[in-house]
Parts: sequence; C-alpha cells; structure tokens
Amino acid sequence: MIYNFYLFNRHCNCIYYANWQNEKDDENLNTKNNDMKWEEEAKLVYGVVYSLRNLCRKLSSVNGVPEKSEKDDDKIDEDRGFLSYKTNSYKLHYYETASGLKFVVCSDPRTPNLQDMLHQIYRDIYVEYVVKNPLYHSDNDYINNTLFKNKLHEFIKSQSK
Amino acid sequence: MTISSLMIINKAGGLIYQKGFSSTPSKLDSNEYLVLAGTFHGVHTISTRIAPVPSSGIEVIEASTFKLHCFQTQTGTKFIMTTDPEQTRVELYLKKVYEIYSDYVMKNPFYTPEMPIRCELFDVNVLRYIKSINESS
Repeated sequence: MIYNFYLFNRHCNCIYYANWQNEKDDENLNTKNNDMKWEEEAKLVYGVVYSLRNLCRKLSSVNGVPEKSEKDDDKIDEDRGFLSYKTNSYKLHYYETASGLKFVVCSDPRTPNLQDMLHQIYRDIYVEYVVKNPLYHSDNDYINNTLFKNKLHEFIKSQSK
Repeated sequence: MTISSLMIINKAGGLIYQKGFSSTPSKLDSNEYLVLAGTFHGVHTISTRIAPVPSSGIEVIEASTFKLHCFQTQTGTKFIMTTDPEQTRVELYLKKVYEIYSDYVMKNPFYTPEMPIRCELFDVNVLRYIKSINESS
C-alpha cells in the first residue's frame, strides 16, 4: 500500500505530488483530510529528508566509514545515504538521483526497501515522459504532464496491489 | 552485528548521554552530537505531522551503512542506538537500557532530572550490558 509520492528538484521545490489514500482526492489535491495543504506538507517533508540525509551522513562517519573531505560534501553519496525511516504506522522511502532530484514515497510500515522501485520511476517514467518531453524546459515548474501522471498512477497501482 | 553507540535525549531535545562502543574513535565532537540530537528531536516531532495516517514518531532509520533505532518513553525521553544494518531485536535492548537508566540514574539521589547523566554505576552497567550483546553476536 502506497500512501503518497513527492518529487523535489534540486532547488528544493516540490515539483510533483500525488496521493493514493483516497481516490477522490485525485481531482481535489488541495483539500486533504488532515487540514494541511499539500504545499505546506511538502515543505515539511523536504525539511525532514534533508535533515535526515545530513544526520545520516554525519553518523555514518562515526560508524566505520571515514568522513569525506569538504569538497565532496555536496556530491551524492549512494554508499552511505539515508534510505528510509519507519514509524508505527508508515514508512518513508527516499531516493536521490545524481542530478539532485529527490523522490519520496510514504507506504505502510511492512513494505520492504523501495529504492529499486523509486529508481524505476525515475528511469522509466520521469526520464521517459518528463525529460524527453520537448515542451518541458524549466525544471522549476510543477509537472503538469498527463502522460507522466497516468503512467505513474498505473505503475503505483500495479506495485501496491 | 554490533551496537555502535547509545544516545539519550531528554524531553526538550537536549542530549543528556552519549557513548560510542566501537573501537574506532569518534570523529564528531560533543557539539556536533548536541546538534544531531536536536535535529533528531525536531524531525521526530515533524514525522508525526506529515504522517499520512495517525502515527507515532520515528522508530527506525535505515541508512546504507547503519541503522538507528529510537525508543521513546512515556515521559518523552528518547533512547537511541545506532547499530549495523543486520542487527536485530534492538527494541528489546533499548528497553533493557531504559531499565538500567531507571535503576542507576533515576534512583540516584544526586541526579537532577533532564540534566546530563554523570553516574558511574550507569556507565559501568550499560557498558557491561552492551559488551555482552556485542560479544554474543
């Protein structure tokens, strides 16, 4: 079961949001049941994953892997990054691409690691239908691409049966 | 399978105890640990706000090289352990550490609640307990 999906670009903006908790929310994204607008929620989510990413980077230097030098600090480090966190009722998965895009998915807590699924969304859906779209030129806008939206929806549905 | 460190955060987000158990010396200084504890405390609270369904705070964080487990007591004190990714049954260990904390910190008449823990008996007993786990696995 997948609850929602956020996509952030490297300028920290949320460029796509989807929610599968309640089917009729699809048309009406701005009103969520817990009275927080999704834009506000997306900012909190970004803050959380950003802080945890830094926290994991700091802590992993304590847990055996040597600290990298300062100039490598901004580079994406897939070897020791933050992957997911879990609470008693949901699990948040995080995947960052080399270009700084951040994919975040919330699912139910029993879900295994979804890194591969997020990578697949990036490779087969984002790159195919957003990057290769000739009309898409600014990476700072919200993705209003029906094909992307539908494909993502289909993909998530097929995954969370 | 090893437990590499233990942290205790009070209900206000202040770090009151930190101990590393791995043989390699820690590269972070005490200020950095204070910042990390504060960050974790904040993120723990926000994680209940952004929950798609009503939820408690963070229980486990998975990173590629380690796992971080958090146990929050009824009074808001958080016990945090970092372990390697394969370590199991950490919830149990955290509860046991909470027991040791109750016995040797809370029952210590010279301890001021919410302040940094400087109790020799707690140190000794925690160290003994963690060592026994690390050696048995």
